[in-house]
Amino acid sequence: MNTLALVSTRAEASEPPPQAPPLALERPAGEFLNAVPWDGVAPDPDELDAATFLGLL
Amino acid sequence: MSELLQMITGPDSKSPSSSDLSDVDERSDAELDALPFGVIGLDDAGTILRYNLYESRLARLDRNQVLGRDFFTEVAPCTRTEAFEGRFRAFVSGPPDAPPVRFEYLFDFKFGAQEVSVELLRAPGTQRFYLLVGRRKIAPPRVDFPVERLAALQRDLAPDEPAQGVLRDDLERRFIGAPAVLFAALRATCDKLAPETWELFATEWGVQWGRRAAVDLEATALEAGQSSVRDLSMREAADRVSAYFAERGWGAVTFDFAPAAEGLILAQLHRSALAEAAPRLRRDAPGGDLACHLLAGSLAGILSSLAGRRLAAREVACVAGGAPCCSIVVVSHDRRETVDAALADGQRGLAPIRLALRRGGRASR
Repeated sequence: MNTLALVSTRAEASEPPPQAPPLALERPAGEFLNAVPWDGVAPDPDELDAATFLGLL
Repeated sequence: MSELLQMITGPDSKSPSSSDLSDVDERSDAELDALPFGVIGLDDAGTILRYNLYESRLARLDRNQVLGRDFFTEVAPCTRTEAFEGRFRAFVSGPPDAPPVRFEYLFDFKFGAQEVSVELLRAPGTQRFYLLVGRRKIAPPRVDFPVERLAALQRDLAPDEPAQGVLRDDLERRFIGAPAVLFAALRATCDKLAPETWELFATEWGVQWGRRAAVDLEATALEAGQSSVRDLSMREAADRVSAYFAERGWGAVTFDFAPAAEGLILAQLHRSALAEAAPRLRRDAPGGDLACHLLAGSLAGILSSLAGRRLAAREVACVAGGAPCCSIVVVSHDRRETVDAALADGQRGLAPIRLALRRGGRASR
């Protein structure tokens, strides 16, 4: 069964679970995959050190 | 190739069109095999010259057994009508620049009747003709249809195959009972002759396999009365993909779509046949701790078809390298180099790869 739950390895257990739209997996596969931001998302300043974040600007 | 993928996986992909395939005669067999509709190439007499994977899958006929045969008399006698063969003969004898002919038809097989849309076109400047066959619906066999005019079965064309060392599944696809050690032997051969090529070779092999697997999944959905895998829920589509691998003994694939919000999908693989067949002595070699490139490539091929865009998949942790399970990330083709750079830098596991992707920001297109 494929779920939204993150199945972490031990090394990744501290990784906070990312957010996903509720019930997204009930959407048609083509529609779901079209909605994925495949090009990536803008960096979150809270997750990057200052030098890295500023280097992206 | 990305244009082809876009074309074959778009919303109208199940309606073949000569406007998209005017160059069909120039396309390779591999390209035709990735199409989600049937392609049959004929000469002016009706002899089969080309026969793609989708047609082979839905007609349950081995391409090797139909090439060189007469389409109308030997393979599909159900088309010996004015509505089909008559149109073909008229088109062949008509002006060379005649526009394609489109019509609806009902293919009658012993295992069922298939409502199809047919487009007949000529390869420009040649005496080669193509039938583009889109399936609309599959129904039970027509009880009143003359038995002698039903389309041929595989065993009609090639009887006594078991005695010839040929195995087929219940859809008449030839299969080989390949032991996992075959892959260990293949890897050992590559390690001996050209070890630096393994990752690239196995990944591309997987992509090619995945494209064909997507065709198979589409055909299976059609036979189950569904229009397309893309129309199934993401959960059910993912379960179908997982089952595809599990039923063939590759291991248990589980998808995690939670990271999709940041543009990637994770697949975890337990009991990977490839990881368990990997040579232990290569763990310390560069990249020798990753063994499932073939399966990563195949996931990229399948998900690219479902997504309608080119995706890449990379294994980021492997049982062969000591991880508790194998992990594969699926990203856009444009962002694969970010993952490759992190892997080349020795990073393993989902967390560092996700961080590398976040640092990479949005792909420039």
